[in-house]
Amino acid sequence: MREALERGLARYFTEQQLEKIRKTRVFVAGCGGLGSNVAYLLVRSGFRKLTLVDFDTVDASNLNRQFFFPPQLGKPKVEAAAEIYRILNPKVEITALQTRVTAENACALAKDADLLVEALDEAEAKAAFVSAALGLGKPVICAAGIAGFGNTDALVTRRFGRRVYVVGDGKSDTASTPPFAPRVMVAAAKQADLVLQLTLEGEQNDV
Amino acid sequence: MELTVNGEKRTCEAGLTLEGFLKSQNVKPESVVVEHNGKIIPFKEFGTLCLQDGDELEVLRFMGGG
Repeated sequence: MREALERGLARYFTEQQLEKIRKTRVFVAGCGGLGSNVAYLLVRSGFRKLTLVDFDTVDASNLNRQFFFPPQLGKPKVEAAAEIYRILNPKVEITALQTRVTAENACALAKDADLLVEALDEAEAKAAFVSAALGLGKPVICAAGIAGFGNTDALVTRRFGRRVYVVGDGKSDTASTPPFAPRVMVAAAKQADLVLQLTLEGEQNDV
Repeated sequence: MELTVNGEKRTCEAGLTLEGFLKSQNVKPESVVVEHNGKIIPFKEFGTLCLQDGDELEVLRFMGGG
């Protein structure tokens, strides 16, 4: 039973693809609505090596969209997430860091990763992280504009410079509009899919 | 002077810094990542970078939500 996920994945991926997926380390900055769902989709896709960073603990107001469950209230988000992912695949190797990602620590925390996912909450924190993380010369997959409900087709992927990908509608802001599960998860799924594509196919000229 | 911002031509007053330009567009400098003529500009240089006629800017604007 412990091997079920990986046994099942062997039906859909070649061994060569699985090997690439297993050895890729993904750094996820923020473990809220985006990060907890991106990491979950990556675990389902066979990724084992994840670094999750978030200072916060699970709150009742997170349950409408974040990948946590009522018995986990009060736990650090990175630990609560790791706990769930281990049920799905006991072979995951998760580095769970309960700290705030900043422009100052971003490169040091993410230096061992192959790909970076920006899943932070505040606009200023997102910009500071992306600006700093670009120095690592690795793909950075961000999100901008995921609030509200309706018109999920407006959530698109754009490319900025050589290595930055941005998912979202580029407009909706949680400062004025609440976040709900469907749009947040559409964005998270698009971020996770980009991680999978970049892992299996490398960096492309077009998205 | 004329700038190209995210692929679109814009006319603005000469002598603006990058920070001045962003503020003139009602964009909070702290919430963007900017590529100036193909190079990412560190946030601390926004106030000193003087824009020139013909410059190309790519402005990646973030909003809250994660």
